[in-house]
Amino acid sequence: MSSRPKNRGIGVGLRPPHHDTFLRAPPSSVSWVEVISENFMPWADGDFRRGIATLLQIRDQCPVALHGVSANLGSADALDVTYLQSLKKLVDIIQPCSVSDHLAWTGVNGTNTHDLLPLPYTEECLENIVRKIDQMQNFLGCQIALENPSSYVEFKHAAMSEPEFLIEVVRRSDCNILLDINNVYVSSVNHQFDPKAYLRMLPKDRIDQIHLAGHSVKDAYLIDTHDAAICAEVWDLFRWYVAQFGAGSVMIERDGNIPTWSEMERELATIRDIHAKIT
Amino acid sequence: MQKSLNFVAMQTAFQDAVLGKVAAEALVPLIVLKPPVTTKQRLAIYQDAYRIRLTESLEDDFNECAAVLGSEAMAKVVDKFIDTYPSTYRNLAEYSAKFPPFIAQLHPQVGELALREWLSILSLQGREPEDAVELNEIEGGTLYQLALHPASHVGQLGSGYFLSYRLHETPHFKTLSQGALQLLQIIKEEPTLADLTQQLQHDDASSTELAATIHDWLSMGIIYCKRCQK
Repeated sequence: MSSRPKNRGIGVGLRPPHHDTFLRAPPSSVSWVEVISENFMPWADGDFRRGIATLLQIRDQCPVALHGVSANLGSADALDVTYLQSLKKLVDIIQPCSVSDHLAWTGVNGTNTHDLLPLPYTEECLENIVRKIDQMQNFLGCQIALENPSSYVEFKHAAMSEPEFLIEVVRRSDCNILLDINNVYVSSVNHQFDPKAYLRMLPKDRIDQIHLAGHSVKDAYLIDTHDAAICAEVWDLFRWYVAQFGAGSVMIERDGNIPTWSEMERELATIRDIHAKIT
Repeated sequence: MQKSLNFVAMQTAFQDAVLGKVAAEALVPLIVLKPPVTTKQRLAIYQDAYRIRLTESLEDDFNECAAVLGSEAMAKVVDKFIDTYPSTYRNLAEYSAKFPPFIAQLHPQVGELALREWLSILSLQGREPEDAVELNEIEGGTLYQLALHPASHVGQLGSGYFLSYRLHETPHFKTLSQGALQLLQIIKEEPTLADLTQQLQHDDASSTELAATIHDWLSMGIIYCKRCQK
């Protein structure tokens, strides 16, 4: 099952306002798209919704990555088998170029908060998430990638930093990393650490893809909202990362205030410019 | 609270704070203090995100109810619903399922409207069946089954039953008589035409009337015909 990530080029988080653009013909500026798995998975009744036909049409023209937000891998709860069965149905029908979820938990005791909650980076927590990633990869029959989340709290009893924890998760579970550079930046401001030091630590051969996104600025902290353009600081961090470690698969996520496709093209052009300068 | 809880206890306590079941202060001893942002402010980001996500989802799905009740009354119902039913769904889109009977209890005047809004969403999202056979394609000597179209949904409010379906990309909504409900329940089991005739033999309605209903439902896309897989 284990394999090293391939460079898929530049992609985008495909959202409904841009479906028609992709149904007509995928823009030449992107070579793959990513969708939120839960938006296309069969519902609790076991049936796919109408959107699956759209996704299948797009998949026929462009590789699709599946990005989940509710696997709840970091939770003390056991993995939700119904959820996994639904995800597997989607994976089987779409044959994605990548399957991912988050280094987080979304709920416990059967509740789902629909948010990426922070983990205490302890050995107990590490063993729990590694066991569940292993179960998920075996169930799906493919390697998954795990995304570093934005976070707003850190726990006093943590035994490791987030990159140390992530590296150990990758080593023990043989999963890959979905590196969200915006999330590294947001957390670095919220927790006052050096984002470049964080990025230097990660095993570059395990980076499945990079996410870039916008965030909201509050009084003294940042919130990962995906509803704004990518800010200068995140572009600078991405530029530095690419100069240091080279280009790989990268995509732009936008979930709120979704702009027209031509505006998205401007951000995609910035990625191309950054890539061009190192080649 | 102790400085360090076991993993399950910590997650339960954290979630209780996010859901607003306990005050955020209970978690303060567990969280690293990094001024100028206070621990309470940090926890509030998670609390707000949870409530905002669910509120926006409900208000989007039931915007006609909100228009009738007014934003203040609707906000109260939504708040109460979120407190009563913490989400257990993996897909946020499914969270609205229990809202129509809930709002019907508090504001009976919009109960049917809420059910209509929810069933309309389901009807718009129902996929097109891949195995449907058009009526003019039906061949003699081949066995066929009837099936409920994936965009057709039956909902209940009190003792009343309602059907929503999609026709020409528009959701439609109608009340169901007991006879129509029974017929739909039989069709849900995907009977062959022969099975259906046999099951309906004891029905009070005339066979002509039933045949007309089935014909209407087929033409409206409420049900569809497919080659027999039995």
